[in-house]
Amino acid sequence: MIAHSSHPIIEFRRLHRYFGLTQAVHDVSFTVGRGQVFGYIGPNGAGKTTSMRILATLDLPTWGDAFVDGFSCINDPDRVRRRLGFMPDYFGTYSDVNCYEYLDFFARSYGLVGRERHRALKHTMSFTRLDELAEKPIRGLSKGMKQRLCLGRAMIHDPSVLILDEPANGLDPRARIELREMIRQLAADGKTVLVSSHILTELAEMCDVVGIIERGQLLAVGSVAEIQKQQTPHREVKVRVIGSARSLAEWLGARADVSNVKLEGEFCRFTHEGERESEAALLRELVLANFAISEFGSHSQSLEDVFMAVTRGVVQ
Amino acid sequence: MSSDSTTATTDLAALGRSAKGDALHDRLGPERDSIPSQWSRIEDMLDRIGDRLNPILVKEARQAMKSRQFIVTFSLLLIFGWLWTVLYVAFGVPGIFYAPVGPGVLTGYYVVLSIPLLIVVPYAAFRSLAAEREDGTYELLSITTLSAGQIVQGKLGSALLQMVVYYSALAPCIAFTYLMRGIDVVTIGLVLGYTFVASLLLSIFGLMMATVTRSRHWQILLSVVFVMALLVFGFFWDMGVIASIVNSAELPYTEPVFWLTNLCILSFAVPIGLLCYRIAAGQITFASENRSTPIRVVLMMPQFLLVGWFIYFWAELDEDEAMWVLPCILGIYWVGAGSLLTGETAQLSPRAMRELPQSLLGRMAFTWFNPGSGTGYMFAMLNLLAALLVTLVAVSFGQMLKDPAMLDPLGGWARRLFISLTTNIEPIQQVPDLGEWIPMVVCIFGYAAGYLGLGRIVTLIARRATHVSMLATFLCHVIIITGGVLLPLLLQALISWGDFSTFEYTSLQLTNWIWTLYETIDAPGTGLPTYAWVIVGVVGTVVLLINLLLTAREVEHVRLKAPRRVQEDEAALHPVIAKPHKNSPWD
Ligand SMILES: Nc1ncnc2c1ncn2[C@@H]1O[C@H](COP(=O)(O)OP(=O)(O)O)[C@@H](O)[C@H]1O
Ligand SMILES: [Mg+2]
Repeated sequence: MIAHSSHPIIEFRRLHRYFGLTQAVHDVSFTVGRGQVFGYIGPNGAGKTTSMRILATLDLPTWGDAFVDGFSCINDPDRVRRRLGFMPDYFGTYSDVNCYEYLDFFARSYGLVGRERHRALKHTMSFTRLDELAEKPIRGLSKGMKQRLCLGRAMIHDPSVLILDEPANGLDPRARIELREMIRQLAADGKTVLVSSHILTELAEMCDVVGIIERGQLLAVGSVAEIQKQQTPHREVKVRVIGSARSLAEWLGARADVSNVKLEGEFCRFTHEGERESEAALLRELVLANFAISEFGSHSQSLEDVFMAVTRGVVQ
Repeated sequence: MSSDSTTATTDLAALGRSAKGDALHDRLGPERDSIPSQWSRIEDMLDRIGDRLNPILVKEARQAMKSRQFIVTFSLLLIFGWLWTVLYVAFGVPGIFYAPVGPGVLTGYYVVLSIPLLIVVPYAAFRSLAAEREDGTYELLSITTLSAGQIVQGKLGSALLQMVVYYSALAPCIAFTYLMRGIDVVTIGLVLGYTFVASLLLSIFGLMMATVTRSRHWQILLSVVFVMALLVFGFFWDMGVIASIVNSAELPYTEPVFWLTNLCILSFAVPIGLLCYRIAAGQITFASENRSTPIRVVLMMPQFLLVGWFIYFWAELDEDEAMWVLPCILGIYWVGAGSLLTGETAQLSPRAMRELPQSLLGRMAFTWFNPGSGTGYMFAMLNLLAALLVTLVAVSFGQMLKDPAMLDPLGGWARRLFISLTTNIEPIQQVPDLGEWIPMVVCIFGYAAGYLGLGRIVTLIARRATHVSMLATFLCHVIIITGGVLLPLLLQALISWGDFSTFEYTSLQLTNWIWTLYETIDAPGTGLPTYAWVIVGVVGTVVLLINLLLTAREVEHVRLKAPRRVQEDEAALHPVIAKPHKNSPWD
């Protein structure tokens, strides 16, 4: 129906959450489209968990509202809950329960009965590859298995939105890669995923959109490439020239689109503003100007640099 | 009876087994499906029954099978039960062969049974809900489609299950005491029944306590206090029960009044249990939900019971004390409830406003059930007023039965009509004198409305500056109400310093509700001067009216329409119920 496309699946609308004088979340607004993977990135204490908990109907905003599939998290928590799976940054467990019983309990709590419940359990356990661990007591699980079990619990009722709070935290590289695969698979199945992390690089490859938050304020939203370009519209260029490095530096220094020229023996480093095409044009001009170029390389700033640029500069 | 224990345990085991069976079955795939056996049909059936049970109950039943606490308690129960039997038989021989030792044996079993029932089960219920909140599993649970009520019910269900298991375990022993003579079935039934009710109420109370605070420090303190309270309660309870077992021969089982008294006591268990349940569920409900209205509905139940039972006992036993005590209890009850209700905030969430009464009738009758401090005050006072009026009608009726001449001012026909209508009703001999009774009732209402209203005005003023919690409001009321007693006493003591021979009731004591009420009820000589109770009544009414004006803002709330998105979803979920139907006064 038209109604479906008319509203974003997740929307933060001027969300504020204060704890006393702490402005945990301050005026955060953004939307996430259907089927997108949204990376929510910020250093510790930025307000990621706080805003995700409001979305998961575990907390109330001081001001503003959050919406899931058009339903207010304040006024229609029941409708939000049916559409949303939440994986918090802690592992809530019961003693004397095994993996199967744990998932079965939550399936029942979501009102799944009979065949539907069996199907949900079967699907979830095979998706998170917990089949072999079904009878294993939860106490004996490794961190990676626990995370998979948590993910299984969050998706047991087949929600259209999944909220994962720092799921990769404390996982070994292998488990991290497996987790990334699972999130990609979920997105491919049409689910919208909001996943948080304090490391941008961890999320960069799997997110369609990222939002960077610090001290409760949203600093940048967009695809990784967009943010990269927006924050650092220039590229680092490194040129190796035979002989006349000094004159090359002078030649470059005279240009408007080049800055930060540095000499390092045979190498000359500088930052160049512009697209790759203008970079190619620059190289042609260099060659035509009779500089003996033996190497020409460029790269944009690393994600870490971008993250540092975004988070340090704006709020302080 | 002994078979109970086996069925209970096999049921539990079956629950666990069927679930595992399903897991296995799912993994083995459809090959196994092709051989429909008797066993798989039974499994299917158990599965379907399990689907209808509360998920928490199912989970906790499975957990209990593996839980050390449960197994240890259960084994200890059996061991001590058998030890007691062996000891009694060993030391009682040969006396037990001819003497009626039933009561003696029963007391031992009872103590063994009462420890798990009165201490372990309620404490386990308390811990199990508190632990969910500490471990964060409560949050995971609260975002499922389970309601807060279902969560509390599930916890209560598993407490009930444990109780049944403990009962069944000791059932053979209790049957054994019956065979030993000296004890009758009625006593055994009463003792077990009361213990069951007590255990259930304590469990609900424990669940309520678990929801009172979230802070870990308070939880620990509360948990210590709760277990101590259970121990003390259990001790006195057991003493009482043992005394009545030993003296069971003297209990008046043949008198209807004995049974009525029991019925009366048990009837109060229902609203108390419901109230604790509602409070527990309310505490853990999402904050935008209307949590107050269900509690207010339950608050009215004890009032009906109180009025009903007191009037009944007054008429039945012909004791007019009942009618003196009833208004006092009603006053205390509603001031107590009101001092908490006035601590609510009047901020209705848009969600709660979707369900407000809409029609004029609905708004007049049900507005006072809406959350809010002003509506809470009015709710308490209107209830008190209604109950006092019913009591007044009852007392006047009693007076008229005794002395129809009272009706003469209305004309002779009124008296004749009354007599002809009430020929079959036997007059009650002891009827409170209306000339003394009415001043007391007026004072009770005046004090309740006045003090509660004053406390509410104070909190309203404080709210302008800061957030005032329910506890703070409650304390404010307590301070004002006790201050009203202590201050005039202190003043009068200062005035008449050194000469206490003339320490008598004066108009200075008008705010001293204890002394004033004492004067109305038990004053030696002339009783309370008329002006005193008139002033109290008038001041109380004035305070009530001021509060009513201050409440106007809360009453203004009107029903909000659900947003379009919610209506769309509602239509998609329940397509048939599209027709707007006006069948309740709420609409
Ligand atoms: N319940 C709370 N009470 C008080 N302060 C809190 C609470 N929860 C979070 N905060 C504060 O809010 C800020 C944001 O916290 P959080 O959302 O957990 O950050 P993140 O998840 O991004 O690391 C922090 O400064 C934290 O101390
Ligand atoms: Mg966090």
